[in-house]
Amino acid sequence: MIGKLSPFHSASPGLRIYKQILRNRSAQIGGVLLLLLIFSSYAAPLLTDKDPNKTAPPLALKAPSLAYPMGTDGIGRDNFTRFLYGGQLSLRIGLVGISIGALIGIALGLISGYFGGWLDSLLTWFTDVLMSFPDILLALAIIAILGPGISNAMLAIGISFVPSFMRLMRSSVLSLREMTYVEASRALGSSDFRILTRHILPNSVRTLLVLLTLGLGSSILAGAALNFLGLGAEPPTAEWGAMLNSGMKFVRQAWWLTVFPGAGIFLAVLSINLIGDAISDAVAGTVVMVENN
Amino acid sequence: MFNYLVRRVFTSILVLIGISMLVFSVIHLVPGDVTMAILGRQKVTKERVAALREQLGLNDPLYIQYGRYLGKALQGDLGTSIRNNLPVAKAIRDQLPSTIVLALSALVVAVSIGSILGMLASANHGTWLDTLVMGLSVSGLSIPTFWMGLLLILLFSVNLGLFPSISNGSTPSELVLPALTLGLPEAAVVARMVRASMLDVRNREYITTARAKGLPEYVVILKHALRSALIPIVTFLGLQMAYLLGGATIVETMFARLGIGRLAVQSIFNRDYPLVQGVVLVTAAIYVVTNTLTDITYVLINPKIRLK
Repeated sequence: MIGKLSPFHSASPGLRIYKQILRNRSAQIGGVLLLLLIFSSYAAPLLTDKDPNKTAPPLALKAPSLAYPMGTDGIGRDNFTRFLYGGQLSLRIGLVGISIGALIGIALGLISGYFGGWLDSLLTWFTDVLMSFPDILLALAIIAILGPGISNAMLAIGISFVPSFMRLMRSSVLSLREMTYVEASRALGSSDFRILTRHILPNSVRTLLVLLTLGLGSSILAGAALNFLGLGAEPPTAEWGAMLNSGMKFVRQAWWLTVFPGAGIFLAVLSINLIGDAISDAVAGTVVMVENN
Repeated sequence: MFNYLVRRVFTSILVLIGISMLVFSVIHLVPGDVTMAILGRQKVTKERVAALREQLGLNDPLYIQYGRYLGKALQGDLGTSIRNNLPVAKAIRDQLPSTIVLALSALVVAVSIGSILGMLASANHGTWLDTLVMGLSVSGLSIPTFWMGLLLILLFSVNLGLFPSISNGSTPSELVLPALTLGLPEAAVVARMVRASMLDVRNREYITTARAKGLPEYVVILKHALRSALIPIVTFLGLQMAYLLGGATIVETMFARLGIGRLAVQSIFNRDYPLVQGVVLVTAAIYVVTNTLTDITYVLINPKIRLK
């Protein structure tokens, strides 16, 4: 399992997980794919000299060609340029969304699990309530309150991820706070804050990492879905979900307007899920080990 | 056992109360004055604003407003739509059946295609077929519903002309594409579960016994292995209401199909807050009730849990 490492120089568990992930075939494929997508969106100005929002009605609905590798849309904008810039926004919405959810969820989970009592009951009840809004519906309800728009969509996605992070963090705290090293730290006079940030949080990183990666995929999907429904980016902003929404009108004349932006979302989520699966496999081994000890 | 049931039902009631509080507060959480958000840029007179405030009952103290909201909701009165002055409950009653038909058809798609693929993969464990099914399954988990819907429209409607791309509920063939769109990603999950479950079961002693008796392989798989492999899947399906109800918003919108999912999206665009509240409340309540029933059924059919 450990490969070339000699028994006398055993690597740290973190390094072992890292190496195991790097060796995983699907993680390799996912990683390369993801890097390509990130590079192509953020290096957009290097890859194309066109303006994503420049319209040219005479050039409308041109099929893919050398000059327009992904064709043009209903008002003559270059679909390839919009694909590249749209990727920037789609990936950012996903990343910001999951980060908001993780920050709030982890903080609430730490407090809830560590201090317990009525605050814990209240927070647990509140997450139960939030979790009973199926799937994208919670994000929709939040958008109904805040109104459509990109930053509101990010916030809505973030809030809908809070319950999962809070639950995971809370259950992690509940098992870790009984550990001997936490007791020792408390005996030495450490403050609650120090115990939480120096002992409990670092030891929960592995399980959180799985939720973070797989959640990033779902977050990108949710962002694209909100944009597809027309509740996110406003025209003319390029975003993969929003591009699909406007391309849908031309599904009979221009397949390239629905195939490419959707493929962007699909490949981004697929690459992240491949990496997430590998992380989850690698971490599962070590978590079981810890529990058996 | 009895204690468990009481506790489970009690938790669900607490959650339902929380949902009603959250849904009730939607209208109060809107930044600024909600009446302005509703009336928008129309030239409004003070009388119009006052009338709307009165209609929404915004002049009373919060707890009275919530009490009234809850009381009416329990009697099936979810308020009146701001846009067309029709009862919200009626709009939901009219459109809910369409969503249920869609969700159930999607479930049929998911279970039938998913179990066939899962069984194929597990029976050919480690071969290219297994790899192919697992590859399809990871893709199914990553594919956006709306993109798959569009690809299905491109293939079956635009190129082959087999099924219509608009589903307004007059013929059964209209249901095919929406049901596939909602059901296929779910089939990917089912295929994974069936495969894992079958692989887990196939080395058990009673399977060896069945083989030793000289039963043909298909009888061993279908009659002995599949039966116990299905238990975790059945319970999993009960929990899939969330995905189906959430996915319905997208699928109904893209196929212009009647249903409460599309109703929710439209009401957000129209800033029709009572309608948003009604749809969200009903959907969440359906979800909580199905989850509770699934949990209870699970305990009733699974003796291992019952004993605890």
